[in-house]
Amino acid sequence: MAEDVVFEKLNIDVLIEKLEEHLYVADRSLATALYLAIKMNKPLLIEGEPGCGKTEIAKVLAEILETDLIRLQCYEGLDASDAIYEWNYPKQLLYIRMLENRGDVKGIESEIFSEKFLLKRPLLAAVLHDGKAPPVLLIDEIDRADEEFEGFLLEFLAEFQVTIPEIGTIKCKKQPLVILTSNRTREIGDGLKRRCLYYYQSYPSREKELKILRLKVKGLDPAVMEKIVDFVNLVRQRPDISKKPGISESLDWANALAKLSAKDFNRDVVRATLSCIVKTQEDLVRLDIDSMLSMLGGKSS
Amino acid sequence: MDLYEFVIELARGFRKRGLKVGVSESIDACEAIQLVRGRSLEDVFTAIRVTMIKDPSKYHMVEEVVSEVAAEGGGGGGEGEGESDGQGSEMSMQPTGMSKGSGQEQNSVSTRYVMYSPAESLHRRNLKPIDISSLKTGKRIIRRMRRRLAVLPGRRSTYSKRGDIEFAKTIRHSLKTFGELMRLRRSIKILSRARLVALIDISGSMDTYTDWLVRAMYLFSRFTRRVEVFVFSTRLRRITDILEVTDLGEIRRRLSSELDLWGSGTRIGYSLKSFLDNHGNMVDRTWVVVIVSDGWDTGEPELLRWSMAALRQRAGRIIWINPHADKPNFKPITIGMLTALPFIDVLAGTSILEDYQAFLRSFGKSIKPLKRGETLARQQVSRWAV
Repeated sequence: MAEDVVFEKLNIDVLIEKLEEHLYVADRSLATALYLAIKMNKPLLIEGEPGCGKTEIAKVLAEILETDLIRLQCYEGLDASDAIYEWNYPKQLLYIRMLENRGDVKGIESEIFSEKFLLKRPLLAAVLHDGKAPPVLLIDEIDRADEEFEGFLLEFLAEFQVTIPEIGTIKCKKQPLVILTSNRTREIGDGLKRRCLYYYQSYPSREKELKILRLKVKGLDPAVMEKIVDFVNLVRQRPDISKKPGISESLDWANALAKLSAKDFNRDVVRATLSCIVKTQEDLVRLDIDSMLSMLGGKSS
Repeated sequence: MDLYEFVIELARGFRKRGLKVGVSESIDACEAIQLVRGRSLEDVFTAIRVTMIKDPSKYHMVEEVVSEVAAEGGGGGGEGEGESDGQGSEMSMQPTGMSKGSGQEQNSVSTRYVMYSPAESLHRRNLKPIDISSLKTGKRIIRRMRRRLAVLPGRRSTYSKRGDIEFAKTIRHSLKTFGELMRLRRSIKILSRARLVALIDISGSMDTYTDWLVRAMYLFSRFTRRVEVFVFSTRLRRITDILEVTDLGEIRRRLSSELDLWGSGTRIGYSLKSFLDNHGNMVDRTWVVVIVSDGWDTGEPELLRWSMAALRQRAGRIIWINPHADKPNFKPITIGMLTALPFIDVLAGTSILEDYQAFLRSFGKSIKPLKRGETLARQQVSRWAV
């Protein structure tokens, strides 16, 4: 069980504190969702806009739990050989060549299909994990994988075991804490959703975003930080902007301005660094910096 | 009312509102509520959301249903809406003093839940059965269209010198030569898949085409496995799940009973924007967007222009099917059509799904997948430009 080491006396408030210690500002609702996932031993599916700290949650959670983070990055065409295991064919071939003269077919067979020729991909690694605490298994951007893989995951998440025909079935000793993330590039199947707890991570409130910037960016004037947050919020509200900036973009921008030792949030500074938050040419053209700044000015006054 | 009864009532409330809440969700909810018990009401709401509501656009239902269940429980409403914390323990959730579950089964079936919206008149419609014979050509055309629009590698592979080495195949083939590796096997995946999102206008002005629209919904939902179907009039509704079942009768029944947007006004721009806001992330260059509408829009044209521009930027291809485009002296003069025209690849009429020749006219004869950067029969659209 995930809670046995660090999370003995865990409750939601403690979790919020711990997250903040690790520089992650979490809403109470997110902390509740994480708490439930840990206590109920269920996978947690986190959906939300890109760049809002979904992946970061798993990393921070692994740090808090003092355990390993095993990450499976999903992509189009991901299949079992990339996710679970694969035989190391070149190594097997070399080995066969070396033993060719031995003539002991059975012996060779049992050797080349042993664990040392097995390439452990993330899911198998999570099953075989042998640490003190169970690992955190991050299945990142599940929406990018095909439905077939999602179907396979259903089985994996139910049984937490892997079957390798040549070796047999391996069942995990300690059930990993599974975090799945999705950018909603497609709807996740009902089956998978049903097996998971669900949390939607949206853009943060102004106060929360400010808190994050203050926590993570050093050496930037607080007034500039406020301007950054307000400006980014204005951009997010624009319906014609195709790639809306997330928290990670705000952080990049704040870091960039800190590096430039910007004292003021004026037109020139914004123009020079706007590409930190706006990532397509069309969007850059559409944004009229002057009018945005005057809106900001109006707001602050 | 104890915790279990409370959760069961909640689940029923959510189901009445069209959410899929299964028994496993209810069990999770019981466990979760017990875990946060004694804490603030906010935590209990989160527990319900995390376990039962797996769609953020439905989060608002939680408070609604909880207060409904609390009220049904005959209890002193106060606690139900209550603020957080205090000693709200031991059931801030026990909003009721209910002795027995009033919710008998007959209630859940017979109670009609009427949605309220000041902005639109909602209509359900008794649809005619879907005629199977009329689907035959449509299915053939959809298959062709799929191959024409394929841009993604499928599961099948073919030999190619440029491909990656396949060790498993190479070794299997080496058995013919007693384990001696004579040749490395390389392969690439064949392009055979496309992804499609269909946005279908079912407002009042499309009324005469209802049968065709239902057929189109069905056909598009069979396009590939990566398909999403939405309908819109004054707002947008995802119906992919309705179309997932195989039984045509069931599809007709659910479209009739669950869909309440038939015959309202049209706000194309607003609907497209809400598509982009809620599902826009899924659309990229590998997606084909099909919009079925006559372009009569009561919303703001500027919003439509914005949405179309954003869609153009993301989607691989945009196909617009206008039922009137088959008419001999058709001119795209509706405000919606005029606004959208610069952004679309193919403009076609309803015959595109019924008449094979009409399909070829719009998509060209070759059924090879399009190469990167290659456009569909763009001249189809420039012909309409006015």
